[in-house]
Amino acid sequence: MQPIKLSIEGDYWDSQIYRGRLYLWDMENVLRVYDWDAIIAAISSDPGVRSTLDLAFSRSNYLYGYDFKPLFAQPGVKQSILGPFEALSRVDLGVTRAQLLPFMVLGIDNPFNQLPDDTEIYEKSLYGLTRAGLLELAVRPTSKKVFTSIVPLKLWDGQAIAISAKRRRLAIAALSDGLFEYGFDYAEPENLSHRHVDAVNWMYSSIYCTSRDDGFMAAYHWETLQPSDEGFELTRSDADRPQLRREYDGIIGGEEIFGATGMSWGLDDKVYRVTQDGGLDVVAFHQSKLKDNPTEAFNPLTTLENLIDHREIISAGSTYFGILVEFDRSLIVLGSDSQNVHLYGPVTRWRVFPRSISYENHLHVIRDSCIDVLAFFHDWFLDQDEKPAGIHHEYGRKYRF
Amino acid sequence: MATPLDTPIALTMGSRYVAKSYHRDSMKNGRNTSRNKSQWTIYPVDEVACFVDAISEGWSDDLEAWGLHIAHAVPADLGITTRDDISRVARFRNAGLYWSGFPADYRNELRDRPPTIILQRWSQANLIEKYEIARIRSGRRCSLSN
Repeated sequence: MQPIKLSIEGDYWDSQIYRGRLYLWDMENVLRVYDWDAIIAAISSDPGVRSTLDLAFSRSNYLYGYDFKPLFAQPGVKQSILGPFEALSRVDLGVTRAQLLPFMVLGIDNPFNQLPDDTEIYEKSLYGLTRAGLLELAVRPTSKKVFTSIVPLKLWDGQAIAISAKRRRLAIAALSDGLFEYGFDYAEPENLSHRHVDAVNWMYSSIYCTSRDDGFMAAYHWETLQPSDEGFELTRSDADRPQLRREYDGIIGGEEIFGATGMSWGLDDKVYRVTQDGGLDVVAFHQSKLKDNPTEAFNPLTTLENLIDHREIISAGSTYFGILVEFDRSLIVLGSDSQNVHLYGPVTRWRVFPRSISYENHLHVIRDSCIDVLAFFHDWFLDQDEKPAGIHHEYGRKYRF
Repeated sequence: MATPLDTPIALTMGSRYVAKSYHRDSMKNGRNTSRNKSQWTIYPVDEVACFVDAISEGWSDDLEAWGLHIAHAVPADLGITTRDDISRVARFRNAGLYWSGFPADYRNELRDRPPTIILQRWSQANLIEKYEIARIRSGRRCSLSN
């Protein structure tokens, strides 16, 4: 199923979307922040179209609709709901620079000074990787000032290429310098592995590292603390909640997981490996089994056949609506509905937002002279237990810290 | 006259440059046998020209310069990395008394990635594409590697 696409004119370098605001860095080293909901609302004056665009671009979680499952199971209801989305997927939606201007909340010289190699917004902080190191800006999501201060705090002097945040930690990919983890404690990041790392993603409490060598997992589990354990806090106000400590289990190589080497990546409940003949091995990951029985933590699900040319892959990733594979001059979405979407032309940068609630269906694709924001809607009505690719969407999912 | 190795050469722009032999002595049958030194595959005279161009084009700061070996208006091979990847970008460092350089391994070494501002200049000069700026900074394959 084709997504709805909105093209925003401009010469961009990076994008983020967070709590109703779109952050765009351009090649002139300017950061502009826009009122995203207002941009979407202004596209059409037709109430029906506005509602469809709002659901597609600003409320992606709404139509997973676990509470409405019996209603959605009624004959014709799904088709009736999806019809307007399919109709909009056939329309070219665009916003020019002039049309964008009234929605600008803030426009400033890039506070990171240099165009960042990667960015991440997490718990009201914007993180940027530059040659100067890892930098942080405090975000004020509802304020017109956007940032508490536009002078970033330097957290680390080291260089790296990619960051990924979860559970009050930043995983940091640093090529041949390896894998680092920053613990939000203003201490030096810990060097967890010296293996080459191209990209990092969280698989619950563990970190999966993609590498031009064999990928690997830095495996962790959560240990429940007893009152006699070191670190147990006797005076916590949430005394009824278990107190947890993250314990390191070691490095698990891709070859141990798949029985063969090859480019691999993972996110949350699934890990993927490209086979020599262009197929894709899909392996389920069970974090809860990692501590006591690591061999049962990885369970082969399926092999998707003849999908891609493994020699040409530039980067890859996954999210709820499927798997993304970047080639030299195209980006392919292997959809969770087994339908593929081909986006032709070279890509400066692409981003998905699987930690988000409202934008988990977004794919941002930066081109030479625009950014395409694509909203996928096929995953809403899929059986999450049966889909061969993409993260399992959980009932009652909330913002995952 | 052949360009001498391991000997400072005075350049007209005022700098001195040393072409290091250890970035040339480990090529065997087209492969780099050194585990820690990338190897030039262009002549020493072209290595020096690559440095001179980098300085004259402003692809530098006080401490580092970044060079390309341009052939037929596109960056051409100039060396082999320690992983036997083709390199089409050179990194030069100012050692105080002289400069020296080597084929950069931007896919593996963080500090072998040219700064974004230099890559933007190469893009503006149509030597690389815009999308390649991000690929180089991310250590990904592009026209400056294989």
